[in-house]
Amino acid sequence: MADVESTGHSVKLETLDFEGPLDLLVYLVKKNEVDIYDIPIALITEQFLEYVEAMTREKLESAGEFLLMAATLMRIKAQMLLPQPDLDDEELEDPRRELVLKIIEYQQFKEIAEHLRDHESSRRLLFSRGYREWLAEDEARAEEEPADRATLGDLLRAFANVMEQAARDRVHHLEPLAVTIEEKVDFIRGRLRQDGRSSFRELFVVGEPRSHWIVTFVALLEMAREGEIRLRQAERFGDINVFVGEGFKK
Amino acid sequence: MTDASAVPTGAVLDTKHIVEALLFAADEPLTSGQLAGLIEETTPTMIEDIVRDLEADYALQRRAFGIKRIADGFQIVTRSDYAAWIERLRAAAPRPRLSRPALETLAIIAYKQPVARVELESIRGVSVDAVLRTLLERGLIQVAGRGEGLGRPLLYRTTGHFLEYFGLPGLDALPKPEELEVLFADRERQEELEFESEVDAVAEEGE
Repeated sequence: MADVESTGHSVKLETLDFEGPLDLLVYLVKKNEVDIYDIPIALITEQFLEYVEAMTREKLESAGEFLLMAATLMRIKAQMLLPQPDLDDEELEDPRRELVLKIIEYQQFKEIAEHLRDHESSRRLLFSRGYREWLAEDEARAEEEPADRATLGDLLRAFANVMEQAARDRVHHLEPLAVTIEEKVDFIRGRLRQDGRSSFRELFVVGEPRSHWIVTFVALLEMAREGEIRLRQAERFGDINVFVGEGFKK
Repeated sequence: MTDASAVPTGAVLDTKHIVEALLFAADEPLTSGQLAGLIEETTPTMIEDIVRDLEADYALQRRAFGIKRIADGFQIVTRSDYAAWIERLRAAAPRPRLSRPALETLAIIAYKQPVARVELESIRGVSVDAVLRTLLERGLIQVAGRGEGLGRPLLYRTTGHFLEYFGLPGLDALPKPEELEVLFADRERQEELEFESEVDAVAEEGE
């Protein structure tokens, strides 16, 4: 991998953005103008790793998927170096085949996506009766559920605010944890069942001991992970709203 | 059906004009079945012919609108040439276009539906959590029940709004996989490869 010179061109990939490891592979195959059915695995692996190295320095969050593919590439490369036991079986045994089929399938869906993009573009130029209502509905939905998903940082900040308020009450309850996460999950479900939404703050019952609030917070995290609820924030550092998610259990 | 006194002079009460009036007044696509249900002594096939006839009229008269086939139905829409002026009518900014990950995910759902998240992630090679939420919110996909597999995963399918959003008459209007240009060319070798994997599959089953 260190021998960049052998490729003849150290690629400036950092500036490009890829949807995922397969997207990057499609790009590399096209750029190098190699035969998809006879991928020079050493060259592609080398360039792939160059990109992953550059990327992990900047955005770590999506690096995992790329690293997984890097491992697959290196495994295939190693398998290619092993002597083939039976030359007649060479094609059937090609360690690259599974990956090649994946690249081809992904490439096909990329093309269909382009096709949809064309349809989207031309559709936007056609107007029918009722298009204003159509737009209004969409905007209302966007307002109700702002696209900004609350991050873990936002949640912790909101929780810290709630706890700060509790601290101001200066009442100290010393008691065993009298509430379970399941109970709080039920409580949150009950609150959401009516309107399908609630503010983050409202879920913390005033007068309850702090320990209960911590359980409420853990219950919220658990429900978000299960897809039972969605946490949204209208603006940066704004109030967080809780919405019913696709996996909501009545 | 019609109050004669309300009919302006010269109005023609033939089926063609009635279809035209219905399409003009409707604010969503009408199917040939719906139209046939509203007009006496017509069949969906007759409606299809009449719509084609109307389309030909509009084209001949160079009208500013035409009939588009959307989501299994017909809808009168303005021609794209006039979009710039109609845009001025709206107060709000144009709606955001879908992102590339959203389009790729939709493409897979459209072809593989009903489909679970794992399969979408396996094909795209990345997590599709956030994208699925956006698509659900925008009403382009919906949950179509649960799969049989481990943990009974949620299955997704495209909605009627998906067809309206892209102005597609139906799912079959999307290109067939074999019609797609394979940029890597060499279709024969691809088929050979697929054939081999089938042979493998059969061989594995035989074992």
